[in-house]
Amino acid sequence: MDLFDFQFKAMGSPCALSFYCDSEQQFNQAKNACVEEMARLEAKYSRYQPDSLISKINKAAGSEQLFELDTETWILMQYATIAHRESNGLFDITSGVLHQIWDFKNPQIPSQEDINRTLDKIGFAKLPMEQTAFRLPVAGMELDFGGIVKEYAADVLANFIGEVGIRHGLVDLAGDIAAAGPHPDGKPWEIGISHPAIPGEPVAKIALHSGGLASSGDYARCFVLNDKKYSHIINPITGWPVDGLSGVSVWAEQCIVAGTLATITMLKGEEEGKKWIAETGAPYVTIDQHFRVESQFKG
Amino acid sequence: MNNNALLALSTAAACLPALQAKAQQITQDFQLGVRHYNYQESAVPVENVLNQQYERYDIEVNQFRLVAPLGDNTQLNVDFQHEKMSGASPWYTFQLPGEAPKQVMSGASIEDTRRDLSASLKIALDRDVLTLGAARSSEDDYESQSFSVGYAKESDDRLTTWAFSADVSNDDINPVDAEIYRTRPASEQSKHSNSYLASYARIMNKHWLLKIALGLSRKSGYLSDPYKQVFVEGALIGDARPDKRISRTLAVQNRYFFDDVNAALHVDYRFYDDDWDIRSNTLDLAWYQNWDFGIQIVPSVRLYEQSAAFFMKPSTLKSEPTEITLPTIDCQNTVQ
Repeated sequence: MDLFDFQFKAMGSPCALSFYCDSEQQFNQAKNACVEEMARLEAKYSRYQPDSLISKINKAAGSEQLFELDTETWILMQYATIAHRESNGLFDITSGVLHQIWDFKNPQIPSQEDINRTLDKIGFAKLPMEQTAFRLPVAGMELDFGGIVKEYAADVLANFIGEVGIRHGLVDLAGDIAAAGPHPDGKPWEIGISHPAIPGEPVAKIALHSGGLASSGDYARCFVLNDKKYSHIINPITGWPVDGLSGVSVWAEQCIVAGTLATITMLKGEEEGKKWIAETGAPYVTIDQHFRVESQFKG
Repeated sequence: MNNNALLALSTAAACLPALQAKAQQITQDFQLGVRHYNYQESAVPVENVLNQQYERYDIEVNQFRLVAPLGDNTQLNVDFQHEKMSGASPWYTFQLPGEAPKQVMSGASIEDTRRDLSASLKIALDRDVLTLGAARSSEDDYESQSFSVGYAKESDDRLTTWAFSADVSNDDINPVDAEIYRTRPASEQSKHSNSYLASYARIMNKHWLLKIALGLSRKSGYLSDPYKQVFVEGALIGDARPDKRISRTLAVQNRYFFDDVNAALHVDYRFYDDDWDIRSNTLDLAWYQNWDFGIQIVPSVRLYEQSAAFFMKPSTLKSEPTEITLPTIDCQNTVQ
């Protein structure tokens, strides 16, 4: 059994597959199926593809047009409902519109009036949760599955390769990682958590046997204005960037769950976030703004 | 753990269709299996037996199994079993006044061969599984054939499974040596039974699996054991039970997994009730503790209570044992 690697780009991110296979043919079949599956999910859930289901729903926001959601989308919506509830409204898949006023390529602070106007278009609780008659009730409202779908895709691929008989493999979708079993000798995959300021320099190493690992951090996108750092992690209730941790990585059986826990931890701010993630019982690593690392991973 | 976010999110994620292990309802490969085993019973303690026949059963079993996929949705299972048994079995009990009851054993040279053939066809369509089965078993003195049909349906979220099954069987009994033992029926006897089972299984959450099953069974015909005898008030008579029996069962099974200690608690309750006045309650508690190196330790406790059938009661001699003549039977020459 040999280790095969493949890198490709999907959902706007660099992705890597590492599978132990009996033959190159087996790897190629699995790899091609994974690439196809990524394309399927992207075509359905991307905000940037005009024909995607999400784009169609977003375009019809505020109109009377109703959508019938397929089972997968409907259960993702249910998942988002739980995430919204468990985070007391902080995890909100309608909060993507805040990025229209907080433009990190063009650093400037929006007016409170702009923020308030945008907040009117946010609110998961406003959605009619009906599978056969779904719509966004307010014009300008948008669904953004960006905080769920890449993590979900990592789980889907890891689950899929397990079903085609690959027992040792790793799926890495730009840091959203899911393992379908450890190396064949039983040793875990070693995952490095990058230093927020020095890419490629790990601040912590995590041994991953199985399950999902996801990270959230403000180092990828943020700007500094008048000596104050504005993170791209924006609180959907206040409309302002969160002054919180620099980064957090969480392990859970499913990468989608790890990702949601990491996002909620970031949204809660440093002190409350650290307390909350510790209370969930999930293993995690936090990095604060002074790059101090706290790890609750065993081994 | 002080907040439920991990559990709540994990439970919700487990419902996502693409994250569920596809139920391997239909095998992908041919499987052929052969198994041989030998079963021996220890001798009965000398003090418990009246007729100096202490040996018990010796059974040789050969099993053969074929599992074959017939296309994407259909699977054929065929099982064949050949069983050869010899030895003695408990026959009846005999109690002298003031003494503990003693067992009278059958002769040591009972020999029988059982051949059992069963086949089932499983047809799986997405969330529906239909199973059809037929079985035939033959022994020197016993023929049985049965047919079954089963249907199971999973809910869209794959968390709930409903299952229904029904089977019918017809058995013919031809006791050997009926001319020697007058307690055995001299002509062929038959037994007919049908049973029905409905069950509901639900993954309540990531840690908890619940299953509830209701069963109904009806039997009619010759329901006695032709070889059993009963010593009643000085007379040895054949086992004679009513020719109808209707029974009902309710079973509730719980499996609860504790992450913190890597162990599972099984709590199972079973209620049985029939029109022979037998009513039983069974509570099984088991703790499946996983340890390193794949070791599992399972302490368990069973609480069981049962009422007696209306025709059963202890029988002891009222008169002196000297008036009793034990039947003299040459066991060596009685069995083919």
